[in-house]
Amino acid sequence: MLTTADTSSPEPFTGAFGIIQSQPDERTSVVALEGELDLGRAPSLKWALVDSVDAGYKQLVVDLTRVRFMDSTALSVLVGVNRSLDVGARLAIVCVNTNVLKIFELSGMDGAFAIFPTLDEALAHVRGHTARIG
Amino acid sequence: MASHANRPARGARASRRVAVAIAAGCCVLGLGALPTAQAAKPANSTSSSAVSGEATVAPHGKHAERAVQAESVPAAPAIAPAPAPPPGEPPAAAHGRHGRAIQPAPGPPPGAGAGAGTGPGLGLRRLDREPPLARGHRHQEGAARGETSSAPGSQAAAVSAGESRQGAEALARKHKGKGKERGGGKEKGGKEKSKESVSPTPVLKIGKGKEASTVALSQETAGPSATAASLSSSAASPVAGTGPASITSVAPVAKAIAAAGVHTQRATRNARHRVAAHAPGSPTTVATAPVALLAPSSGSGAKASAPARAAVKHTQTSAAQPALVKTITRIVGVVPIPVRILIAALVALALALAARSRLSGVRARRLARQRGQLLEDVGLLQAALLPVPPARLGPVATSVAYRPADGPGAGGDFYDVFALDDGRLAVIVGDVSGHGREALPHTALVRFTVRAYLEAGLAPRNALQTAGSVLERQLAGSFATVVAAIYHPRERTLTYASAGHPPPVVLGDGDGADGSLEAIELTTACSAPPIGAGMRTGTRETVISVPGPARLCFHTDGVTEARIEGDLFGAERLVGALGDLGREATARALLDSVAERTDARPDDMAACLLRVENGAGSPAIVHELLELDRAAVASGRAERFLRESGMTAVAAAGVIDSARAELDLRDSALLELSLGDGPPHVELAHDNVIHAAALTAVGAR
Repeated sequence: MLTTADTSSPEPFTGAFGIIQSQPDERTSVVALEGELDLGRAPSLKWALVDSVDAGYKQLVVDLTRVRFMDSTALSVLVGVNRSLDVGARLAIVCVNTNVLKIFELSGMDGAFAIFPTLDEALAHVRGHTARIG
Repeated sequence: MASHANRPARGARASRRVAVAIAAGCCVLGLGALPTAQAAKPANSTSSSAVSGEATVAPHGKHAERAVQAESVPAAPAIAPAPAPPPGEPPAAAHGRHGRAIQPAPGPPPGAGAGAGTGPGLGLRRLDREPPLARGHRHQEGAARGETSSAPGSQAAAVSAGESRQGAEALARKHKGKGKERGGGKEKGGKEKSKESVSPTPVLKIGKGKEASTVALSQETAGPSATAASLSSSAASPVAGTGPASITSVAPVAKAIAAAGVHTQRATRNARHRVAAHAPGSPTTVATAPVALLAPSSGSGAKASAPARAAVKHTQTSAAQPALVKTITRIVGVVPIPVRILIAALVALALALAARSRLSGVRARRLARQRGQLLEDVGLLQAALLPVPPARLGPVATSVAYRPADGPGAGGDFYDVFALDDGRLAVIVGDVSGHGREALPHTALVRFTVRAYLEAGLAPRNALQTAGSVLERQLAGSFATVVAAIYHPRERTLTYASAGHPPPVVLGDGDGADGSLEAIELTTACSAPPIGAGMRTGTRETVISVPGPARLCFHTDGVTEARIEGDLFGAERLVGALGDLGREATARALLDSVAERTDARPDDMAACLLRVENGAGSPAIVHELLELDRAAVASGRAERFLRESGMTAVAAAGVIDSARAELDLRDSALLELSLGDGPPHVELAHDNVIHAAALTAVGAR
């Protein structure tokens, strides 16, 4: 399923952080993150997503399952990408971590994203198989 | 030896130079110059032994003749013509060695025929040129010669001694004294000895006539140290017994060496070098030249003498140069070519690196300066966005604080505290996405827009709602989180609304002695999104009653997102920090406390603290206004809000049903949750909150 694997930020200074990009199909790009998604790592996320959008992927999934915590900077990246999506493009987020969910909720952005507990649900959403829940 | 003859005339000046040269030489060698100087001084007046030193230096076998000869020439000019061919030594070699080494300025005729002739010839020449001074000395016998030339000689001895070891000076001095005393008495024996041992040549003998005493004297002087001297000077010399004179000459040096336990050969070499260094253009030359000769004679012959010669010659040309230069020149002369090239390359490399380092240093300083200026500019602009409010606004003590990020964060945070009519107090705290320069204009825009709506009389929620719709276009992609609040002192209520911003921490001072913290806890469900995020904001407003003393802390997410042991600082720790500060807490103290407790602060931190005083009772939520849309209801957020606000599942479900019905007719429904002593009470309204509220506010004015 993984066609490419890219670790753009391998083992940074404080805590592990990694980005793995994969393309399950020709229209879908999954960006899986791991570790602490903060000010320092937000740019990595941003470029990963921007690259996917530029490459023509219309169905984006950001997998935050293995993200320990996320700060407002990373959130702003997601907000920015979400807003810049073309018509017909979809972005889904996979997240079960309550800390991270709390960030979405506290900032009032939980309504702006389609957040799913599993990758399959997120994929189903971006492929249009399910109605957006957000 | 030849050279010495024509030098004495320069006595006074030269001897000064010598002293300097010696001192410098000693310094270079890392030895004390003082002892040397001391040794040299007494020698000037007395040192017959030193004199003998000069005369005797050469007398190693064949060379001895020359030395003696040369010495004697000045003393007895008449006799000089007699040539003294060194017995058994190839004339050419003799010439080459001695002539050059000893003869600095006038230089021996290069092609000067037979070696035998050369030596004497030189002597003659010297003689001819010899200044009256030298001649006068002749009356003084061996010891007398010292006055001009002996001084250098003694110096040379002193020099070599000084160079050898510290103990040398003392020895040398001793020697000099001894030598003088014995000078006259030992003449005869010494003469004979020298004759025999040195050479049978008439010239030599004659020359020695006056010299004899010197030789003998020196021999005597050297007597005690003869072993050491012979060890040093003639260790390599086949003619060990030949030169009592030679022995004497080296005596001080050798003695010193022996005393110091230095290897004799090395010492001899040193002496040679020293001599060579000091030789040029000074009386020292006279005295030391023979010493220089000593080396070759004591060494294995011509080979050994070569460096000495070269050194002498070289240094002679640079007589006027300071001692240090001479020393360096001499050292350089010894360094092999490849090493020189290597050194040159290294020096070039060092220079290149130095230049490069300097360049980058300059660049770094310039960049640092520019950075400082930029930060200063940013700081000035930010100061305009971070005003200093009065310490007290009505009944409320206020304080604000801002703390830049550790890293390159900086910028985006803003706050404002200002008075409204009716004694009310307004607070705005916010954070614009992005940092630095690009964030500043947006920061100003958001702050003054929200402030304007608050000053116009809009409730916090309505101010944010209106600002959100106005600023959506102007923020051009970036967004801002803002909390706007109004404290009403008469009603003792805090009304605030948030647009994606952390809610204020409301902490009652507490009546109980247990010191328990009574912070208001709100549900985070259905929080309003930031301004500029493309969504409708200003959808929620909270009213908190503050009947008693309390601390109301507004802050930016930089505070709660500071790192503590790899985790976020969080709201709970913030409450703890605020509680620990007590009733007199200030925003500055709070941020300092947070900074102290946390490991890293990647974002700016801003805080605004209101201290409400008097009264009694704990803060409590009294009202929540929530504007619902279909998505909020459909996603279950609305229901969670109700449940987390204390409603039962049944009651919440009932409210949701009503909201759905309302939303079937309109785009939004206003849910008003009243929390009091009894169960939460909910009312649904259906008017367009934004415009109605705004109009009401404007109309009310």
